[in-house]
Amino acid sequence: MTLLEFVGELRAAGLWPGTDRVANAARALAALPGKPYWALRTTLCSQPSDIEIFNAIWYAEGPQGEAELPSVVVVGAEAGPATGGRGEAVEAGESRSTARAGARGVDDLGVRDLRGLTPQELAEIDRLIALLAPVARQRRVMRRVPWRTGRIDAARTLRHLLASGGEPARILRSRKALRPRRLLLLIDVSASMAEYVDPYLRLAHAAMVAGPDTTEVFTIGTRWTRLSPLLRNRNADAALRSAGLVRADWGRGTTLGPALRDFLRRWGTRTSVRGAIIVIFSDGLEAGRAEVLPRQVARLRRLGHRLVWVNPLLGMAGYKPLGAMKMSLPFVSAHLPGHDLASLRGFAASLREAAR
Amino acid sequence: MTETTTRWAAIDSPEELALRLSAKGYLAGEGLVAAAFLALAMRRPLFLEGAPGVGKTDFARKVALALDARHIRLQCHAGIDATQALYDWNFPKQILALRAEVGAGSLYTEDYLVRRPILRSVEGPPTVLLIDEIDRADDEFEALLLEFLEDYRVSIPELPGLHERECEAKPLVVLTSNRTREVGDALKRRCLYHWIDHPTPAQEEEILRLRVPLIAPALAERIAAGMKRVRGHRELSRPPGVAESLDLATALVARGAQALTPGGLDAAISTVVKQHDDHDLIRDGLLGEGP
Repeated sequence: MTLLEFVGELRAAGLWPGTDRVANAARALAALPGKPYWALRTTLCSQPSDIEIFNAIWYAEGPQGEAELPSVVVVGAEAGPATGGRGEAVEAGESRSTARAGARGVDDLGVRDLRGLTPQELAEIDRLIALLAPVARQRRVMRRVPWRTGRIDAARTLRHLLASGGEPARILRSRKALRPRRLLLLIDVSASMAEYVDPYLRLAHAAMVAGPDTTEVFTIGTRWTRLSPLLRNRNADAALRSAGLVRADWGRGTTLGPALRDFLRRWGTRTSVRGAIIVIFSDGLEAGRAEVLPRQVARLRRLGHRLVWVNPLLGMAGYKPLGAMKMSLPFVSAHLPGHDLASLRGFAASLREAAR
Repeated sequence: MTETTTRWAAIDSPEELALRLSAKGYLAGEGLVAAAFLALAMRRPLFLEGAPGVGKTDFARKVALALDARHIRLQCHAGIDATQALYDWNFPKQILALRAEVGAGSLYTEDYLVRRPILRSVEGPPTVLLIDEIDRADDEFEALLLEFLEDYRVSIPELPGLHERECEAKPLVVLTSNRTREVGDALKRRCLYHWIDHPTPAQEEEILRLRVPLIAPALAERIAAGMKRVRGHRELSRPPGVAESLDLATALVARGAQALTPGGLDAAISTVVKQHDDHDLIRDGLLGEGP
């Protein structure tokens, strides 16, 4: 098999090295003829997920010489392993069959309903976009920008000094630059949340459109699924439709604690979590062991800047948090209701405060 | 480190590089050696990723030792910019010169140039330049590195005639990332990429015996096997790296331990547990009582 054929196989599996990378690979093969695996891997891959695809193709074409397609599935969303309930065992076998059938998103993990949005709902999204604009939540960063007051900016002052022949006519100053704070939305999509998931997804889409570079959206149920790339589409109908097609665990049981733990293991060190305003949309009804969730909530609180919990049950008369929810509350910066549009708007407005 | 060498040591095969590295106390996996060999042969920067504590930073230092090259480290942080990475001007000196003799000569000459790590690495003897934790720098900083990573050249527009520094002995550039942020593709495209995995128990045992010479063989084996168990645990929030097992081994050996006992481990547990929630999991895993 030639290099180009191999690259063709990689591309078919979703790893798409540019021509410059392929040229590099050819050079690397010449420099290190004894170890083609490493020569190709170091030049054609650029992240851990690439290596998985690479290995799948390499070993499929290896000594065994199997002619069948390797087990790589290409989906738009990234997802963690299931942490409980059904579906635990499907991980390995499932990807092979989905790749071959080309059917994506229609296995037993369930699909959201696909009705279009009403004009009222679209108008509401527009209003939320305005409220969620990331310029409203700023933080200071290390980078410095010119400003009236603050520390003396030696480089710029000197350039002015030169122009005035050495007289310190003007002292120029700088201050720390401002950047929007990141927003991380975690939406509980378990069965008990079913009627609230749609408005929450619309809110998430609005946040995504308002600040595509500073927003991340995940669903959490029995496992985590990253929706951010799908919600980036400005067309609300198309974005929500594609999000609904993702094989997230819509309307299943809740093992929020373990799912969050797995999420933190994968994403906890990333900038999407660190220093961000983290929002959990959940009723906090936990089916698993009660003590797991509070620990993850505490960790989220320590990693992020503020932790806001939007709880649809909080709007109901006589609601008292129990079990895992009650144990998690001490770590939450703000516990807000989220059962109707007014409360969601109130939440969006409160983000301005939370950024400080 | 010999400052007089002006050429890179000739390395003919990955095996030779591996041998030189292990002589300096670094046991590199086959893939890492192959990647480093290619980086030398193709004059490409090497981009290393992996879990914290697998020896990314140490690798650059040991490669420099193994190749008799100079080692320069550029630690990245939020807000790092050209004046900290490439070059800067000595402003106090410029102002003094300006006040002393108005109108005499340029203030932007070699005399006032302050060399920062990247500029230093392209001048002088062969250098291993470590750009550490590039993910901590702002994404704008990556763009600053592109010219340098492509041509190993730094242009200084202020110097007369758009001065460009090019070097005879191109530096070996090692970039590391802990993936706290996704590094841009423009930068990765210019590099060779290698993901460093946690070592196998056999490799880890060998590393322990090489780096902690006084360790009892049984203790090294026990720690390596325990680490493998601990890292496989799904409930752990932060798996310990090789750096942690080295610290643990050093601590145990300093206490004169010949074997891993619950009492000895408790006294040294601060070397491996960096998250309170993980305490019990790591302790049980190391002692072999966990799943």
